[in-house]
Amino acid sequence: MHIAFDPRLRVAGPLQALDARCKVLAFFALVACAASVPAPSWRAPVAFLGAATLLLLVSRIPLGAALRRLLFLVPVVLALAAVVPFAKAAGGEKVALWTGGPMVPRQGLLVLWNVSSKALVGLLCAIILAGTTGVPRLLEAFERLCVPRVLVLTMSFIHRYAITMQEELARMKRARDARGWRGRWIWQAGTLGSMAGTLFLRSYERGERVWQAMLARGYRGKLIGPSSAPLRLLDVMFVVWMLAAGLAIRFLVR
Amino acid sequence: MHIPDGFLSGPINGALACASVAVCGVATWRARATLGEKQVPMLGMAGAFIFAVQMLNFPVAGGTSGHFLGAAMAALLLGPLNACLVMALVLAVQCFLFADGGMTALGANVFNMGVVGALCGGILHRVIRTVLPRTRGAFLGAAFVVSWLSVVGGAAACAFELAFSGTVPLKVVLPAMLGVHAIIGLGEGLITCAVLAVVLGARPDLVVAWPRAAEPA
Repeated sequence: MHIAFDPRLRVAGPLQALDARCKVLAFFALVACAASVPAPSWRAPVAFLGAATLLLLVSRIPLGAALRRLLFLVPVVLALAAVVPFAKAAGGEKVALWTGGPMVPRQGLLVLWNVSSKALVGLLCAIILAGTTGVPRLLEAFERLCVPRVLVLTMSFIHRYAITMQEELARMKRARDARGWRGRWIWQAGTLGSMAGTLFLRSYERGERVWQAMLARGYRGKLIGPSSAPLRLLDVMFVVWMLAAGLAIRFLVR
Repeated sequence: MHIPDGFLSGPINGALACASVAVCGVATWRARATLGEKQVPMLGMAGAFIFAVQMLNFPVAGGTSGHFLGAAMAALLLGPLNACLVMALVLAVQCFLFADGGMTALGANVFNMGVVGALCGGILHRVIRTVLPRTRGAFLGAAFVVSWLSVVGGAAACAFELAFSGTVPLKVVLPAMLGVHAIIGLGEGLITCAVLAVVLGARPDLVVAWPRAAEPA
């Protein structure tokens, strides 16, 4: 299951106590600084990875859960590794991958390391942000950061129904597999299409019922959750620290 | 096709974020003006549906798989602007709540899948429909073509962004992305047609692009 839904992640820690708005801004600032590191640099990504790892340790998110989520990056990096090192083949210094191994351009390897480490920093920060904040507080933070209400409301519905639908889909998949379906050829995608169509109809009609039930319980266009505390100096300082750390690494580490 | 952080350069990310925010701003304004109170949960419902269906992996060839995008399907079910908005919100939820797709690349992801995939796909379907006979077969055929184009168009946009950011040269990334997504697009088209066939059969009033949906019941 996904990180934001995992109840084991709701552990107390210093980052969990911070204001959600400030956390969104602070992590975005760090990721933006990391993402803007120019391509030939290899030391700055190391420093950003160190900072993100430190934050992960401080956050007390279970490391196993976080590492499992990181595996999702593997296919993207592999796809990039298949093309990037050979891309700048014209000219430039070449290095051996291992002693006696194939020669690849040094520039290509640098770009691969730079890009994939920055992606890792972004992924780590997103895991820490979601894992220490929780969905209701994160959505409330968006609303208080001036995202239009209709959008935040729709996002809360997406999150609310996504779980229900995944469970419905899992039941349909089990039924399909029990009937001997084996996904091997592209024309079998039609089966998935019928499943998806049925899922749409079932969930649409369920959505209509849920909406009626919400109205019957007095819903007036706003989900009532725990109201957040006023901003403290510590919350603001966290944003300043993260921005300062990001800028320092970005411009001082060569 | 979810681009992570760090793959695109700052200027490319910034420009695409501006474009996406502009389009979504218009879409939000239109949604506020035209959608009834009841339709907000329905947008959420459609978003959750796309979210769930994106987890349907289908086989491409010899063990590799692609996942369903849902942009063209959303455009036909909800209308182009609403579909673009829903795709943007799904991507935002995936990015912030599930760590899928980078925070700084969110604008680019919304552009590739929402603006190119859903908005352009939906408009293209309307254009194609004006020259085709008003039959169910022609409707589904156009839907197939538009779904294929939405996947391939999104992949092409992604390839150009990666190339202009200096990550990968265009002559390497464009054929690779187009080749893989030309096949994934066939699966996308089949699923879109099958979904639309099921929904048209049971609840044709839910397909916004189907002309008879506009008539009062």
